[in-house]
Amino acid sequence: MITAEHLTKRYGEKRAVEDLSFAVRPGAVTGFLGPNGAGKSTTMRMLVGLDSPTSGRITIDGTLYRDLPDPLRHVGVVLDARAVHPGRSAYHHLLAVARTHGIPDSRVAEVLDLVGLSAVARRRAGGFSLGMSQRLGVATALLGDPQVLVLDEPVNGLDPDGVLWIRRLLAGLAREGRTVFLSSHLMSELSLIADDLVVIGQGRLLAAGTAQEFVARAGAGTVRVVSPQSADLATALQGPGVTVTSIDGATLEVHGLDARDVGRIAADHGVVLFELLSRSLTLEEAFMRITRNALEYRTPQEAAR
Amino acid sequence: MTGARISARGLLASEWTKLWSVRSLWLTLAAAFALTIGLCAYMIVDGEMLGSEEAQDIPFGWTAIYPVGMLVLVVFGVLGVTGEYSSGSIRTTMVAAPRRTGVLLAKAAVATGVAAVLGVCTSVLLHGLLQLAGTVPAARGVSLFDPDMFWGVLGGTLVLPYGALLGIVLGSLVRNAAAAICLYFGVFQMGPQILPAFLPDSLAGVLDYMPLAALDVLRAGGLTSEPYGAGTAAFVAAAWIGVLGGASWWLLRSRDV
Repeated sequence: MITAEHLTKRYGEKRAVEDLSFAVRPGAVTGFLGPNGAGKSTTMRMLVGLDSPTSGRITIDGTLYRDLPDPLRHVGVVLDARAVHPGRSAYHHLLAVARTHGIPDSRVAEVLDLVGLSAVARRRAGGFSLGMSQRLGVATALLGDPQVLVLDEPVNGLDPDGVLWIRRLLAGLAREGRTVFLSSHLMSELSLIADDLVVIGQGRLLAAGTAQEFVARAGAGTVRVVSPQSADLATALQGPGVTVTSIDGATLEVHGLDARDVGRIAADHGVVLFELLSRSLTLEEAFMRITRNALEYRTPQEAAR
Repeated sequence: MTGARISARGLLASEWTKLWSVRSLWLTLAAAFALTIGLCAYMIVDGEMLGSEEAQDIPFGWTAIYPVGMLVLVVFGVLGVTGEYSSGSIRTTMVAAPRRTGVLLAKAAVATGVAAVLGVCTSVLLHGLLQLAGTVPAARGVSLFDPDMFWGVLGGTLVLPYGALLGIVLGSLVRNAAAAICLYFGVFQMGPQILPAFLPDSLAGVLDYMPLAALDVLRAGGLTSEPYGAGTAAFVAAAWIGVLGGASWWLLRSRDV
């Protein structure tokens, strides 16, 4: 279990992470979501002790990463793919990491096989493509066979092949009962794999919980209704907290009422309905809605939306 | 894999692996010793020593070239640290050993140890060559363990691992190769020549306590006790490493990587 308690990181006046508290439950895939610059990377760097929190703490099963006698056997991290000396071969990179913990050399060959880099293991990592570097990063993370995997934007910049590979790998690791904590600024990516979500914006927690709770929290969905008397219906539906948008001459989109209410109101007013369809928010829409208020950098047009 | 955990031995093995798996690193190391051996061998065979007439009478005169090797070893030490920062591999290193102190100690131990072993081999080899060539009358038939030979050779040999260690320390201090090498040349190599112009006369004596001045005393093998003796010199040289190393250790512990 990864637990952040009032985690705060300031760089001078700039607040990267502010009073962030959340928990990542074991054996699940948790998506760590937020717009670029929200503090996701900083949080992950604090988790593995690369950055020190200004205050608060983030622990693994109650222990600071720094205090683990065998950190690689608890947590595997892929923070950025380019954390390798370009002049060193993939094999020797892994060997140097394995040796710190006395992990046997045979494990190096195993992880190279696991990520499909055995054929290029003796080549210098400087010549690797981003996809190959990402695989090497994953191999490094898996060296200690850890129960928890932490990945920062693992699909960023990867080609479709690479994205598919990462997705399958993470799904496989999750099936083995491992905890996977991965960040992304792309909701669509996480919606395919995450059980739980932690959403932050401007360094603050915006939402945390299961994906379903998250959608529910973002607000009700919309009801789409098609009627030849759409103008009459629109008038009848008006009320506090209700917005009605006309899509075309016959179609309305209603926020703030569910399909049952819309049908009942239509019947009360003798309005004929051709179509009545309720649609819940997608994760993507829920994410947009929740992060919109927390966006730090946006153009005036975006702000006005 | 049960029982796998961070250990001093593991960190040493890791640094050892890192040293030999980057070509630029071991090439720099090889260059330092090739240069030292090459220049010294030429001088020995030629029978010509650096410096004045008197230098011909010093049995260990060939070690006057060692500071050239030391220079390259400073660069070697610097690269051993700064290469990790410039490539980003330092993050992998620090994630694997999050307490950090052990990494610095292991890195220093491996670089210094390797330079010391190679330094001793170099000196034994060159002493043998000196005996074979017989070009320096003062050294003819003088065993390596003869006090007239031993202390000078030891002092000279010491500057080689000292250079590697100083490089590691400076590299950790500023984390950037260009900055560390400039710092070495500006402050330690050229400083003693430039600084007197800016210092009041009463403070000029301070420069005698620069590391290279202390190493010069050690390299003299007891032939001089100016401005201080070998014991003080060893202390001064060690104190520089202690202070600079302590500062880089403190920064390593407190800075984000």
